[in-house]
Amino acid sequence: MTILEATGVSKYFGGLKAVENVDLTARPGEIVSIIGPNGAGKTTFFNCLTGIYPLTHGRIRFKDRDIANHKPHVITRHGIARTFQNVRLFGEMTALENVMVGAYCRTRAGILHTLVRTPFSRREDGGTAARALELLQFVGLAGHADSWARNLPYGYQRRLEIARALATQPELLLLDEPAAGMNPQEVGAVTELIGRIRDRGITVILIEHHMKVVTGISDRIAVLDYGEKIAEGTPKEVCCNPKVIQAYLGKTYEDAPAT
Amino acid sequence: MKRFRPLLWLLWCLIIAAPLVFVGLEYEWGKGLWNATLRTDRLRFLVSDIPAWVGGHWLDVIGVLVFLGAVVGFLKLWQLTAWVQWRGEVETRTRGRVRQAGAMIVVILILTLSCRHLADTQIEWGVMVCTYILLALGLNLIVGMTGLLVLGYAGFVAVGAYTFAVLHQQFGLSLWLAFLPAALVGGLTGFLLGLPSLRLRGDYLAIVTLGFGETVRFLIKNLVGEQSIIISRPARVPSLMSENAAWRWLFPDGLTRLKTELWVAVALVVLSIWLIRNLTHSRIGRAWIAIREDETAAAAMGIPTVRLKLLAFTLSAIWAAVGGVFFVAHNTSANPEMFGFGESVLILSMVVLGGMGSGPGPIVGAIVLYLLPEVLRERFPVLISYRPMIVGGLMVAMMIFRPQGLVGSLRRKIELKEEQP
Ligand SMILES: Nc1ncnc2c1ncn2[C@@H]1O[C@H](COP(=O)(O)OP(=O)(O)O)[C@@H](O)[C@H]1O
Ligand SMILES: [Mg+2]
Repeated sequence: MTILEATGVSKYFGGLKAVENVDLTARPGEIVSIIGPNGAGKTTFFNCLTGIYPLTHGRIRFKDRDIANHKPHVITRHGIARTFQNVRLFGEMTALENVMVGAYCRTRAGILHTLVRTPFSRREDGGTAARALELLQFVGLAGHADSWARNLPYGYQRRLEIARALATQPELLLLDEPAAGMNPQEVGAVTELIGRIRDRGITVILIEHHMKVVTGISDRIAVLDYGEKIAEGTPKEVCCNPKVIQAYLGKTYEDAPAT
Repeated sequence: MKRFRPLLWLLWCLIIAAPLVFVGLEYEWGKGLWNATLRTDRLRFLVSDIPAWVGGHWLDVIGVLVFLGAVVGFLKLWQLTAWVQWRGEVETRTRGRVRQAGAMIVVILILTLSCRHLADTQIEWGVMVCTYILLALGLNLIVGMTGLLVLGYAGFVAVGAYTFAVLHQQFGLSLWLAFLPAALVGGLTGFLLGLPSLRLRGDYLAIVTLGFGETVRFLIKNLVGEQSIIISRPARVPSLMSENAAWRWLFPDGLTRLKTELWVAVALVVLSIWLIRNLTHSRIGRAWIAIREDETAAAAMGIPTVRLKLLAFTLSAIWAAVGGVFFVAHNTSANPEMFGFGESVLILSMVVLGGMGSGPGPIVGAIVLYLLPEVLRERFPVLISYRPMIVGGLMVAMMIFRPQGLVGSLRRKIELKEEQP
């Protein structure tokens, strides 16, 4: 059983093949990691999955539904949420409001309800706020609900972004380098957080450079290089794969500078 | 930007000092500045005239001060009610209710007092300020909250105004009955214009709406005619002067037409504030702000961006149309030239000056940009003729020194205060 099944996904920017014929599947409750050198096309692959870029070729099935080239907000409603490599919060909103935005696609109060603030919209909004606070607690930002997103420290912003994504009630969460730029302690906290997200029954696809995070929690790892998937398997298999070592360390293993 | 700051300050000082230099220095070209004579007698008028002016216009001055004071007081109250952080707690909400009631009582008191004591010119200002506040609030929905630059807002105002004017001309429709059809037509226009153009981003949208504003004016000229349409007496806001009516209990002296208009205008503004406040604190308002902050991220969080932008556009056009109806009824006639590009720019300036996206910002902007020039008009007619230049300079200065607007940071300050328990 698979929850996500991407087959032959390709994305070209003019002559540049940013993603070329990539297959990837994820089973429910799994943590799948995507690794690869900078510019390998990992972020572009996420953008294809979430509908931000139209595909050049390929098929994407999510929960047995074809979602390739759907609008981003439709895909989110189907149950795929994401974070961004370069944090993209709504800076002029508080942390709590940021998370509440994520609940938009799971709430229904229309314009007439909200204009006069009917009991229905008030109740719904109260529920949204309560759930958002709960999520802030879940990612460890309970005390920062009223802080401006843009004033939060970088590490908190990354976690706030995860809370915002969780507010869309996803079944599949795409995390784009959630531990980038963090100190070892914060990296540990994020790793633990990802584990707890999986424990909630949410499938996770993770782009990450910190090998400690990747090998620690991934069920499977896929390796991209120059847009193509060059390897896939358990952490152990991938780490010993000569192709992977070559992609990371240069032309051949022997040429690599001694470290 | 920081590097240029001293330079800008210098430039600013020069601009401010220039009139002083021109008035107070007798200087002949080519003779060198050191040969100029300082004419203190000429400079004195700047200082000595102020008491005389205040003496002659003390009623104006007091009236304006009271009005500004009332506005500030109202904003203070409103700020306490509206910007209390969202918690969904019953206690906060009841306290908010009490404060809202307090704010309403203050408004009603001020209105009653001003109807008693203010001269017609001042009430006229009040009505016009309220009209501009109404329009600025509507424009703020799209420009401030959703972050889309609209340069042809007067076009929507014209649509509403002329829906009323034409319906009045043809069927004798009165103001009260015209609000609904005008809002419908205005909203439909906004919707239809937004449908193709909201796929454009930034400057392109601004240009499309600019074109729209001008197109509407010419359409009206060609379809309806260049002459003014007069709104006859019974179709306007009535005066409440007859004896023995129920409202005599409330207004023992009765209300002239103008005074009734002030009440209606204030009611419209209060209603708008309430509706917009509700929107700001709803899922839809949050979605708008999210689109303004980062459209791609908003879409990735499940927000149908095009649909929500369309909604903001439509609502904003409805506000404009309602404002247009009221404006025409107050003005007693409609003419295409009243809805030119200049008017769009003036309303936009109010939004920018007060603070884009902030709740009370447009209100403050409308008061500053409409009331101050009007009050100073008699004494300094120059101000009116130079208004576009002054407003332009003000806008440049705002962009440089205070891009968030006069009250733009209100929200942040309060929340920071609340953060420390
Ligand atoms: N919008 C775009 N237009 C053109 N080229 C792009 C665009 N987005 C990404 N690319 C290119 O695609 C390649 C893959 O980028 P990216 O997916 O960001 O890599 P990664 O996330 O693996 O570091 C890079 O060469 C990048 O320059
Ligand atoms: Mg990347």
